[in-house]
Amino acid sequence: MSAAHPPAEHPHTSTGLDNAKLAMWAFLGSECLFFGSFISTYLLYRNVTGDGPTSADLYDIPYTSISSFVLLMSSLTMVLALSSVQNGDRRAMRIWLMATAFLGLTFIGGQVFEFTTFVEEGLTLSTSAFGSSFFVLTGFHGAHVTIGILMLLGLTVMSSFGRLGPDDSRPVELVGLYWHFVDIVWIVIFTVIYLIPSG
Amino acid sequence: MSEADLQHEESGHPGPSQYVKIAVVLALITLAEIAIYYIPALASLLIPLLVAFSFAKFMLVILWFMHLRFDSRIFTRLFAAGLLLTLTVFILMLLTFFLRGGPAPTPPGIT
Repeated sequence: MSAAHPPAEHPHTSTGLDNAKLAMWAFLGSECLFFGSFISTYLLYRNVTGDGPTSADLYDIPYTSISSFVLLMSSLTMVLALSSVQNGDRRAMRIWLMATAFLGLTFIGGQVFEFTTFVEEGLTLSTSAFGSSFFVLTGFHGAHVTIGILMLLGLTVMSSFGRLGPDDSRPVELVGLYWHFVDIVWIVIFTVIYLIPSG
Repeated sequence: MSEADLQHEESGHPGPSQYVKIAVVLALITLAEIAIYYIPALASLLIPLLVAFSFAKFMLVILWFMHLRFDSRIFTRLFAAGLLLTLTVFILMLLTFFLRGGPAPTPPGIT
């Protein structure tokens, strides 16, 4: 018996929208509050440095700019992966997914290096309120990127088992939404935390 | 224009070449952000310019890469609700502390 698959654009739900996509957008809306609270906390405590180093002593803007650029470009590779799967080009999709995961890993590698440098220069999670708020905010962002990388690798594995295609592209779209969200959070973090000087 | 671009245009979504153009704009904005950071003459305008650039990048990503421009308005409203709530809490929290004359009190044990 063959089951008729509803078209991806018009699922049979009470809203006429895909429930998984609706849930993803609701989740991303709640994530705004999650990161918003950490950014607010950082802004309140960024000058409370105690005897530890300040942001001016630590931040390396050219270095962080390159990391930001890498993450920004990973959004392009992600959207190209979605475009490829919707066109039925699984091979191109896998290449773009792997490229996105690679760029994400490069970003995480940069963050690990930055954290290591900061610790060597005397800023730890418990050095000062500035240190706590900085590491919690950027650390949680890094954790989100890491989860995104795992999901990208999961999609690549699914694809190599014959899953994902023009009629089954929703998982790529959902992971893409998550990935772009992680990118826009970094757009805000890069400006507010790194570029705007502390008073 | 590639075949993939044509297929996407027919479906009402942007194609790969448009995504690349958006990425180039995002890269240029990032370059501008970093450039103004190092120009002393723009020091007084630094914060408004950085906020404007950041907002532009944010909007480009959510409208084009996350397809909010082309998808159902329900998704936009759902995300905007979270964003609006965040901004409200953010502004109220910062105002509460700064109107009382300074940064938040530090928790015990933290310098």
